[in-house]
Amino acid sequence: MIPALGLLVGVVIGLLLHPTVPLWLQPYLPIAVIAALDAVFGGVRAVLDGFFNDKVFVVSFLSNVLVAAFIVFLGDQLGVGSQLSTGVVVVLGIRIFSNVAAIRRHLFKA
Amino acid sequence: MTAGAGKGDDVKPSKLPGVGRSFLRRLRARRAAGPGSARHTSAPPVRSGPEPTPTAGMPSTAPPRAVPERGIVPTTGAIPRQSLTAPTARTAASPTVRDPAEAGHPEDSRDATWRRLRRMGKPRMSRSNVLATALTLSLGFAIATQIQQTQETGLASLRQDELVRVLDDVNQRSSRLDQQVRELEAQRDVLTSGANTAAEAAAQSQKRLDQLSILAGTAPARGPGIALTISDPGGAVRGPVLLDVLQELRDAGAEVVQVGAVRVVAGSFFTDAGSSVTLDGQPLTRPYVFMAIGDPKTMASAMQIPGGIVDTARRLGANAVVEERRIVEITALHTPKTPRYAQPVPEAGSPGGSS
Repeated sequence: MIPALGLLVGVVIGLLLHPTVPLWLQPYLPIAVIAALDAVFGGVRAVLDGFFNDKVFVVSFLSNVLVAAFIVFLGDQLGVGSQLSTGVVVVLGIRIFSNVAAIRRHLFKA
Repeated sequence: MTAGAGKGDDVKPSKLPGVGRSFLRRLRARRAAGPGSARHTSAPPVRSGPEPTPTAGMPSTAPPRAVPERGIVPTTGAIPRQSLTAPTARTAASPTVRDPAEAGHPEDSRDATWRRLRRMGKPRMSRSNVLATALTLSLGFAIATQIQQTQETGLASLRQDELVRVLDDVNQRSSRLDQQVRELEAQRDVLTSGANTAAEAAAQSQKRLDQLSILAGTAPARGPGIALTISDPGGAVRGPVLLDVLQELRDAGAEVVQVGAVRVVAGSFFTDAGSSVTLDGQPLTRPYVFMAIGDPKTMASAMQIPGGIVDTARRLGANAVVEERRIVEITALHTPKTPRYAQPVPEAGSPGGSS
C-alpha cells in the first residue's frame, strides 16, 4: 500500500517539479522505467501469489533497472543501441503482460 | 531481466525458511484443487524457463506441483503460449478438466486473494517497505519526468514518414520564400536604378554647377598654375597691356584668373583711371599679380616667348616674373549681377535654336 502511494506521490512530484533529464541519462531512463515497471508488476503478482517479500522486491527492482541500463549502455557501445533497446522493451513488455495477466486472473478469475 | 524473470521464483527460496511454507502449502492445495485458480493460467513462455529452478531448490514442493502441471499443460498449454488474450478461450476449455473438482473453490481462492491483497495493503513500517516505497516513488518520478521529456523532444522522436512530411513542408515553405526573395530583389533593383538615375542627375547637376560657378567666379578654385608678377615702377603698364596679359593667359588655357584681389570673369574689363588701372571698377595696386589656374608649363612659356608679355614688359621698363606653382589658390569671388535686360530663352527652345 505504502509503495503504491509512493508511486502516485512520485508521479505528482515529477509533474510539479517538471525536471529536465540530464543528457547522459536520457538513453537509459525510458528502459529503466520499463524495467522498474516490470519489477513493480512482478511484485504485485507476488503479493497475490502470496509470497511477496520486500527485500526481494527491492533487489529485483534495482537489478532490473541496472541490468536494463547496462544492456542499453552495452548496445550503445556496440553500435546496436536502438535495436537492443527495442529488444529489451519487447522482453519486458511480454513479462509485464504476463504478470498483468496473472494479476488479472488472481483478482477477477478471468 | 533475469532478475525480474526470477522475481516470482526467487521469492520462494527466500520465503522458504519463514512463513513461505504455509503459503506454498496453501498454494499447492489450491493447485491440486483446480487448475482455474492455479498459476499455470499465468504461465507465459517466460515462466517455462525458470520453472525448473524452484523444483530443484525445493524437492518437497516439486512432486505435487509437477503432477497437475503435466495433467493440464497438454490440454491448454498451447493457448497461453500463442497469445495473452487466451484466458477466455481457456476458461471455456478448462471446465472439462475442472468439472471433476469442486466448483465452489474458485470463490474461496478469490476471497483469499483479496484478503491477501488487503493484508499486504495494510501499512507496515519495516525497513524494506520504506525502501520499496522510496523505489516506487522514484519510479513514479522517473515516469512523470520521462513523459514530460518525451513531450518536449522535437524532431528526434518523430518517425520517418513524419520527418518526410516535415521536410516537405519546409521545402515548400523554402521555395515560397525563394520566390518572395526574387520578387523583392527585382523590386529593389528597380528602386536602386531609380535612385541611381536620380543620383547621377544630381551629380551631373553638381558638376555643371561647379563648372558654371567657376566660370562665373562665384566659387573659389584651386589647382596647378602660375603666378605672374609685373612690377611697374614707372607706371608704364596700362590697361591694354594688362588686357593683353589676360588674353595671353586665356589663350594659353587659363581657366581661372585673379588679378590682385579681383576675380576675372567673362564680363571683366580694365579701365585706365589716372595713373592707376581698375579692374571691374576696383583699382589695382602695383605690382600687378596675375594668378592663373591652368597648365603651368604652357602658360609660363606663353608668357616668356619672344614678343610675349615678359618681353613687352621689359620693353616698357617694367619687370615681369613668371612663377610656376603646383597649387594656386584663387579665393577672390565675383558677385554676379542680375541682368537687367537679357532674358534667358526657355530651355525647350534653345536646342532648336542652337541646332
